[in-house]
Amino acid sequence: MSAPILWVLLPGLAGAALLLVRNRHPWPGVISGGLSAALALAAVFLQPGEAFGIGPLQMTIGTTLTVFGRRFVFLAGDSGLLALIYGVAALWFFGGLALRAPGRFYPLGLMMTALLVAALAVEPFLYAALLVEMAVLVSIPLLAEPDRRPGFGLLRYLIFQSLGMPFVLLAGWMLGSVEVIPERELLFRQASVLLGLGFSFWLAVFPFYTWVPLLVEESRPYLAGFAVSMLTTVVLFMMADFINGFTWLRGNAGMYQVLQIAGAVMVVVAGVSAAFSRKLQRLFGHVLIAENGFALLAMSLRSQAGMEIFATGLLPRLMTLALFALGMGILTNRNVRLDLPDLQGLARRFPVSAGVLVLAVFSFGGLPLLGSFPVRQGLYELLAGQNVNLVFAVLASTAGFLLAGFRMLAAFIVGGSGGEAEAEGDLERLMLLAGTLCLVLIGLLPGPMLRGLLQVLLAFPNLR
Amino acid sequence: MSLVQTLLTVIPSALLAATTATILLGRRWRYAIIALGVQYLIVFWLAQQVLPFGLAAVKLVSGWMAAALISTSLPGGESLEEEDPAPSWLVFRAVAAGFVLIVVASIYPAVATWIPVDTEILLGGCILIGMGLIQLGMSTGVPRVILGLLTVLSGFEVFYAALEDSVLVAGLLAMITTGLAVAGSYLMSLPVRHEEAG
Repeated sequence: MSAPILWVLLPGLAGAALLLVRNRHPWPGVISGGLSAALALAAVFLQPGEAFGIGPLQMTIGTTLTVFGRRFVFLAGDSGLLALIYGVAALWFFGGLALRAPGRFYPLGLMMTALLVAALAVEPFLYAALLVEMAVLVSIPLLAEPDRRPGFGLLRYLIFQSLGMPFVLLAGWMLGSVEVIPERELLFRQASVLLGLGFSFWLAVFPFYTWVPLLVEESRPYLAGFAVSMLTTVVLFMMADFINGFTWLRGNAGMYQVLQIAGAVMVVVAGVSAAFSRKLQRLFGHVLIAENGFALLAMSLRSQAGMEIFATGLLPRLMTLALFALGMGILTNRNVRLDLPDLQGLARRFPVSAGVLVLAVFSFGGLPLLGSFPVRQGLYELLAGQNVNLVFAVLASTAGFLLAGFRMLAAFIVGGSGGEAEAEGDLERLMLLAGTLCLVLIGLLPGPMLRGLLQVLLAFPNLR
Repeated sequence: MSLVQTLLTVIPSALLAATTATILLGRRWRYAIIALGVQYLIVFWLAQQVLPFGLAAVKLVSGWMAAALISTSLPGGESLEEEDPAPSWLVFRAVAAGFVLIVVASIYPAVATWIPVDTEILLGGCILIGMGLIQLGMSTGVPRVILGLLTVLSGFEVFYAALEDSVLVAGLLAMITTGLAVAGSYLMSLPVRHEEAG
């Protein structure tokens, strides 16, 4: 048994098999969630390449799987990444179970996760672009609603994600040619431009971001939240892996400046748009864009502390997104329109969902004592040492999200019919409250809650 | 450059310009699918100059499979458009296509400094990518977006065939081509959107 078989082939095949029983609620959700949780636990306890014992038996999980001369490799340092990705996937699948998400969510979600994990394992690294594109194609039936024609958001998503692939592949080829071509400087510059374009398409960097709010609006918010957050999180890992793998890229100060500007522009654009959003789905889309911007800002700090902020920010990021999406999913399941004017008095009808939605936006806005606050504070502190103006711009944009949160709060508690509470289901309420507790605990005890995430950085030894 | 060499460079490029223009300007989906099939034949012709015959054939087979898959899901009528476009539609697209071809002809020597491949392959790839991008930029319907994406990716495949001859890459690219067609077919098979209440 090798690690790629365990963490790529097994979930991929399980996903394909689940397609056959996708409508037998709740089994696809239970199996997907259970398998993802088991794989996350396996990543915590079983290190690829290191021996472990079960009673008298001594076993080792191999690190490598070779396919057509190319290798899929997981080393012991990748365990943190695998645990995080499958742990988060399990969270989304169990959330989907509570929400009674459509049957297609579980098999396609599991296959998408397996493909994205494969993209992190493949060597040479340039092949990752092809696997990301395959994950995007798998996500299309997940995001398209079977009862209506796809809108511009889904088509733009497909276009922009597909256009990212050629740029990254060409950049990978250029980087592989460095050894045999004498004009290295020119080649590095060209490869940087191509890489920058490729990752910009994938991460919805300004101006390629318009599809995100549209996609969330057109698709089911929970499914869109899963697909976009998983995809962009793995692409961020790929980006870190690129920077980790190439000395010239790590030593290139200009690249870090570009990352910083791109990240700040994403946060500013998303913050301003969020302040004027009247639809929760669009607000969620802007949160997704700004989260990627914050991740780029953390990576742009060019220091161990910056990477630690990037790693520790992953949990609040994914928790906030999952909670926000779950809250919206619960409302859409009950045919509640997610426009602010239609949500008046929501706090009386769906008290837990309304509270969680507001809390998620406030947490994202960096309100003290909530999940994102400790990470944001650290980021602002370090960023201020490099560029104070940028910190002011980012802070002002974050205020846009807080403003959106206050508008939501006002709409939820004011007006409305004041009818009886319709209330969420028990499982839904349990998931919402557990997630909220987690967000508050991260805010109150960031050290113990987030320290484990630093294991993710073991996959990028040159960036630590 | 001898006359034969010049012809070998010009003929595939001219054919690609014709097929991409047919897809961009044509309103009947049958012509678009035929043009797509011919396009993959020329992609195969260009690829087999730099790849082993078997690997180049993979591109042809996957391209034709993609064309076949799309054709099974296209609307029952003749037209690729949901509504009849205005007469200026054709003129506008033709002018845009002309501009793209002029731009491609003028920039492909500069592209050669980034991607050092034969002129024939470079020109063919640039035409496919340029015309595919203009198709993507001017279309909102699923069939045209999928045709545009397939055109752009086939242009990239032409370039990449000259740079990388890996079996795994060829296989994965073929899977992406057919996957894109499958995704497109699925999207085209969905019913027309009904406006939400209110």
